[in-house]
Amino acid sequence: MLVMAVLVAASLYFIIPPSQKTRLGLDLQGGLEIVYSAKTADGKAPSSAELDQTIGILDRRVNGLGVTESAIQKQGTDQVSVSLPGVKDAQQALQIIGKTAQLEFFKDDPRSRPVGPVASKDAALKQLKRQGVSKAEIEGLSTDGTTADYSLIQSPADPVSGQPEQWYVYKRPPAMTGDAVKGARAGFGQGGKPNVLIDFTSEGSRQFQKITRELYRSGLLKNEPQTFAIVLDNVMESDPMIDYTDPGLRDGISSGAEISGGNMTLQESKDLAFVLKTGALPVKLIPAFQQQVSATLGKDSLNQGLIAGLIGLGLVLIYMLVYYRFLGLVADLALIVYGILLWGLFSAIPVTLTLPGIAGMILTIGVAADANVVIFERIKEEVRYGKTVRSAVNSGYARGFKTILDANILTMLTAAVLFVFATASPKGFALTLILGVLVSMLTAVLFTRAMLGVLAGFAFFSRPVFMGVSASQIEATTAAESRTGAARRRRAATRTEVDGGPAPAAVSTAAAAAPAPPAGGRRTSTSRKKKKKRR
Amino acid sequence: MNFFRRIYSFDYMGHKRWWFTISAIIIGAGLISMFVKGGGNPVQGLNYGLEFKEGTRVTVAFEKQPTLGDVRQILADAGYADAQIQETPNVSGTDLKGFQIQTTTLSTTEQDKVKQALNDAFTIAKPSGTEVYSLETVGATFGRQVVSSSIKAVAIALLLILIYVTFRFQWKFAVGAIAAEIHDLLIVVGIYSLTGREVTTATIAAVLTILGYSLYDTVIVYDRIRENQPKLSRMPYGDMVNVSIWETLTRSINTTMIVLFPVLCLDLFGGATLKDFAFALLVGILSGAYSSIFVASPILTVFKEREPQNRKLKLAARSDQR
Repeated sequence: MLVMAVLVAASLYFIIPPSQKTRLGLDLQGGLEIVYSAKTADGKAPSSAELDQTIGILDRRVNGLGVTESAIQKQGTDQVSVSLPGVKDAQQALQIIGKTAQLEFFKDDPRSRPVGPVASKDAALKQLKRQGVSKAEIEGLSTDGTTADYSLIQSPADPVSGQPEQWYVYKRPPAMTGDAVKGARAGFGQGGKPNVLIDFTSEGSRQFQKITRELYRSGLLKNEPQTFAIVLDNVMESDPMIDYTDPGLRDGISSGAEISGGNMTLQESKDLAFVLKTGALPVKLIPAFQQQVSATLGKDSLNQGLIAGLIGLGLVLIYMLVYYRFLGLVADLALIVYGILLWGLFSAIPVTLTLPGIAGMILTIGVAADANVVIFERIKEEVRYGKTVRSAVNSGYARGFKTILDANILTMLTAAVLFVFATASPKGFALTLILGVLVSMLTAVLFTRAMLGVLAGFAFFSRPVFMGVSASQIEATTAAESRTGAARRRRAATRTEVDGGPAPAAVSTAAAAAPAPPAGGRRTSTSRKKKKKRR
Repeated sequence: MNFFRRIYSFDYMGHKRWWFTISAIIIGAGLISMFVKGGGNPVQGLNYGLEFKEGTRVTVAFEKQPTLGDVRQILADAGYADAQIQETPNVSGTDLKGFQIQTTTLSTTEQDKVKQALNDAFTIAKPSGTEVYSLETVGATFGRQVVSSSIKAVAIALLLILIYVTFRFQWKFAVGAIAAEIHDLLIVVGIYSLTGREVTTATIAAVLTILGYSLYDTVIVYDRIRENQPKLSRMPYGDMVNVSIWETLTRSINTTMIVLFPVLCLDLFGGATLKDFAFALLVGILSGAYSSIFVASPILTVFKEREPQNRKLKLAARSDQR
């Protein structure tokens, strides 16, 4: 009893105030959840190290979004789930998180760029095919955008300059990759347009200088300005020109590069700089599942779940009280204690409450009450078979609990299987179910048992009516008594009685489990009578 | 009134064939429905939710109250003429009329475009400062993974139950319990096929929960049978099972009722996801209560009556009756 009081007090401490101490899942507070399938650039399954690296980078990107309580998890061997509860701008988050951010620099000479510019993807692929590239290679390029030897690059339409969409095929490997990038920041370029400035590492600077120097020289040779392409995730961001008439560029450019293509908004340039800074993902992320819940819908779901739970709890409390009278009151108290403990547990340990979790909680209200029903029925039975209330409570509790244990272990076994195999949302349900069943057994052991023990000491408690054994039940069953096996069992029970002694009241009121058998039960009861004779 | 008395003295085991027939009819109807609707492939005979398909689903409410046709028009203009649109009377608890729009998988930019188009046309409602707008996207492989992992989970759960019941009782008990489990599963799946209700991940979680919980009543009866067996060892097995059922009937009914209350409340007052859970649980719990008496116990009896000493007792009882 004392243990129980301490536990309840501790739970209350954890619960109050509820608004701050209960962690809500994103289906209840709104937010964004995405499950990505990860693939390497050429469409293969990622290695475990690549996936871990991806999670690290995603973590940095998510932190940059300023979302608290975000969670990034590996799912299976090739999936990553990202959950962002309470995120304000889901679209922006999607743009930033899932971006591979594979930055590449290609030279624009015919050797590096076998195709382009052409007007469509199909035209680009057709032209490449005419150059004798294999069919498998073309197909790979069509689905993945990148193969070991080629990259298919799109240059989106520019509404300002009126330039239409264009497609290119570049030969891999690129002249430079994002590995050479040290940092990136948003700024303003020519005409005050937002751009992104890229800083290179020392190695990157050397590479960039070499490329630009080569372009300058070939520009001089051909008497024609040369360009190179800055490509991000197979989209051409910039196509800067190296002016061969400017002698200042003779030794190439070492300071840094600028992405100014298209008509970036300031926000877009900031996002791009941020993504480049956090580094490129080693894999491509394809959204496999995406759920976006607005805060309003989340709150509605929470309220509905709570209302359903409270009404359900109320109905169970009333049913127990009506059916089991005084014992029902004990059960109701136990249920309320159970509710406080479960909620306390949920607030104390870092479990996020989700909608399925609420369903699990509500179901466990029933499971917890079931435990009381089984124990009480057993006690009533023991009273009917002639035990004193006190010993009936003891043996009834012990036997009832054994049944509950078996039933609950089966429930927990399947919940555990569900927890191991299921994906995100049923997992929460399984966890609540397991915790709920455990707490319900704890309540049955610590609270119900103690309450019954204390009550059995009082004189008023030993009246059968408190057990729900009513007078009408007694009259109806006394006649049937001798005909059923119950009588025999009752005698056996009285014989084995140790601490109870004779119980006159209980014997006369003993109600057999089976009342007078009408037509349907005749055959069995006859056979039993016969058997008795043989005995 | 007589009914209530009779259920406490009815010869359940004597009417085994009836129970088996009733269950067979219900399960048969479900299986036929699955085969017919699935065009020969029963797995296809269910109405799978978005989680199992490929596509994007948007749930949204608007300030201007457009008709279904208006929304369809705007989507068609945006290039999504094939979108499936459903009207829902009130979006989870709000008084606003809402729409559920299901399209092929949309990329992030396409999602933006659709949202913008809808907002421009009808203004997305913001009852308490935040938009009533939610979006789900599912890729092709996701659903397949969910289904395959669920089937694995069911198989493993059944195996564990088989082992546990064999360990605590006896393998003959375990066979009855597993038969009851499969019975419950088939009934839930069959009813989903017959009613055409949408199968979601919530449904699958509920079905797995049923696997565990529907044995509650079965364990209660089994426990009593195990306890009665030495005491009533001279009674024919079927009669002993009958007595055990009579003695535990009240608690079977009460435990079922008590779990049904909260589940019913979930079904009546919960939001869409909770309703999904609740319906599957409701069917499963009822079926589980039924199967403990009408499937698990009769099958146990069938096996047990084949044991020599039980067969003798049964024959003796029969000749006594004549």
